[in-house]
Amino acid sequence: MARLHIENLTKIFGTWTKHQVIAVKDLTLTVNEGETVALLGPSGCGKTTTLRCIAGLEIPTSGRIYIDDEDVTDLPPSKRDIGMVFQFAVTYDNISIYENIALPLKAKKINDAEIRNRVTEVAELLGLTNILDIKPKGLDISTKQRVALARALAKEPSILLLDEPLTPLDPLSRTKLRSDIKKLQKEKKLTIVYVTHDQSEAMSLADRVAVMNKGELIQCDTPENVYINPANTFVAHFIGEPGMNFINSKLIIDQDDVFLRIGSQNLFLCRLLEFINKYGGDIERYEEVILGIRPEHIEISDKPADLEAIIELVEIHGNRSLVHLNVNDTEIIVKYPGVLVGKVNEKVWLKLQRERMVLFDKETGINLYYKNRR
Amino acid sequence: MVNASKVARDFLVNIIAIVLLIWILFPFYWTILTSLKHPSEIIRAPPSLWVSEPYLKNYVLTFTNVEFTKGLLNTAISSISALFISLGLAIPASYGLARAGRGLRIRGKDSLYFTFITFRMLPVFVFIIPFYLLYRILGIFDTLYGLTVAYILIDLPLAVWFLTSFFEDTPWDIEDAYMLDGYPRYKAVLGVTLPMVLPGIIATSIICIIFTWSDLIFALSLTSKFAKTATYALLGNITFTQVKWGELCAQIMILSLPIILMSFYIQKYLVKGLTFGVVR
Repeated sequence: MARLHIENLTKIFGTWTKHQVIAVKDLTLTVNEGETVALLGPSGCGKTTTLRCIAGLEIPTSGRIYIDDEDVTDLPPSKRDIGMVFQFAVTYDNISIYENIALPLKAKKINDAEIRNRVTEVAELLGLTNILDIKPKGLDISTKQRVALARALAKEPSILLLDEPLTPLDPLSRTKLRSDIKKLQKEKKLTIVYVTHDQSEAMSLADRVAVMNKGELIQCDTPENVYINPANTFVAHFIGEPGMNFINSKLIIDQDDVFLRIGSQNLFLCRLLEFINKYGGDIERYEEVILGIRPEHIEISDKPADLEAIIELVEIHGNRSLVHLNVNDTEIIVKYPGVLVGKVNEKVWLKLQRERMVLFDKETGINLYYKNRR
Repeated sequence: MVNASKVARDFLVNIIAIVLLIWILFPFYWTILTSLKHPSEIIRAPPSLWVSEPYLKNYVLTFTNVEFTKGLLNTAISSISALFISLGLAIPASYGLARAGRGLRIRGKDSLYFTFITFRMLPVFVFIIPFYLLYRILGIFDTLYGLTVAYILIDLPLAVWFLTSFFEDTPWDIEDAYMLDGYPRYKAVLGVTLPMVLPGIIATSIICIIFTWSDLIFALSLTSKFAKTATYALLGNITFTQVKWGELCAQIMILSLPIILMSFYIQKYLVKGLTFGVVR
């Protein structure tokens, strides 16, 4: 296993044509040895292109890629010692599963006894032992994906790349394969770059999540930090189901306290000292801010609390409800444990968890916490 | 009611199919029939639709006819060598064009592709006179390689046109995976992609052979004696005094036999190849 370092990677498609597409813009990222980083983002954000550049299947327009300090940017895919699993399972249907898994080992000129050992080992790890002699043609997609994963693992690559390997699978085998990958990752201390658009996959498998949008890396941090302290409003909204609520507000300082003014209501944020500690001293800079708070960090209450709101719609999802409310003409969503019935158009109070509130710059959407630290 | 209309429709479809079959097969039947008739029977009116005693001398004469047998050899040599040269050029060209369409987005890719196809769109008469003059100047008039070059002009655009769409329909992921498994690109193409388009290559080859095998216009204008093709030699049966119908039809049968056998033998590839891009 090895360390992967990507430096200022840019990939432009159609460089000399009228229809230029900037797929990846100035991306710098380091994946440490034995670490799993998930590239997460909406479709077309450049995450797969980034992966294909690491694999050598695309030639970067500019930037360098290093594996363990060795510059591999100009090496062909066959010389990079990378294992990759594609979204749609790739198996060679005219040879047996054993030969499928052995194929990359033969390319490495490993002797037959060693090949047998390695194939047997990965086949056991992925539950393929009983079907090694049959050909993959006609097998279901999840088994094929296991074969593809086994093939990528057998050659003990320095980096393992996974391009949405679970997306085409049915929910049951998806959960199974996901936990198998998790197990393998811990057991073999794999360095993995995992591309997905499914945030729960990213959150559960990755040590760090790299959120991308429009070819740019927005934030790369632990799943907790990406969730609790998102870099900007895009990440805040993209992560979470549903995403973070945003309420436009004005910052008001009243002696030693900082308030947020939302319409005609005042919401206590924190003490001035705390604010300066967290966001820096020049508080006058931010007059208008966006308050961000996740649906699970708001409580609905009958008694007077932080904010007044009107219930607009209640969606019931089994054991919980999503309550759509109107706060000063802004729609926000609250997760309510249990079933909330028959309260539409009623006035209620909202209690916000103060330590979970995030402030964003109104113009740029950047989290003020990070803005201050740049 | 539903059943009645279905029966009526099936009946109509069958009638149309039968009419079409007769339309296609009757001339063919007529040719076989004439090739087996005695000269005196051929000119009988009204013509008979069956021969009780096949007259095989037409076929015997065909094989002793040096002009025709030499023509057959010329047709075979020029068609097959043109096909192989065209495939040798068209396979890498189509692979490149198809690949450029997806990942590389090379500038001018579309106009390059269009240029290839254009040769197919222009009527062949546009080429005849310039070719004739050019061949005279270059001294390749009435030579087999001259004819082969002309046949490449027929084969190459067809092959590029068909093969590009076959290559476009192959999943690239397998090629990519093969490279990541430690093999260079040329091995991935030879080992993975080419076997996938093999039915397409075979179908394309048959179509190319059919076109060049039955060519007359290039043969007429670019050969006169040594490189005469079988189709050209057929005209030898039309003389000042008579038309040797029996021998003509026997020669036509022999000339078309390889194509017919080939099509039967590789029918499944033909269907698979021709529907490759349509049915998924």
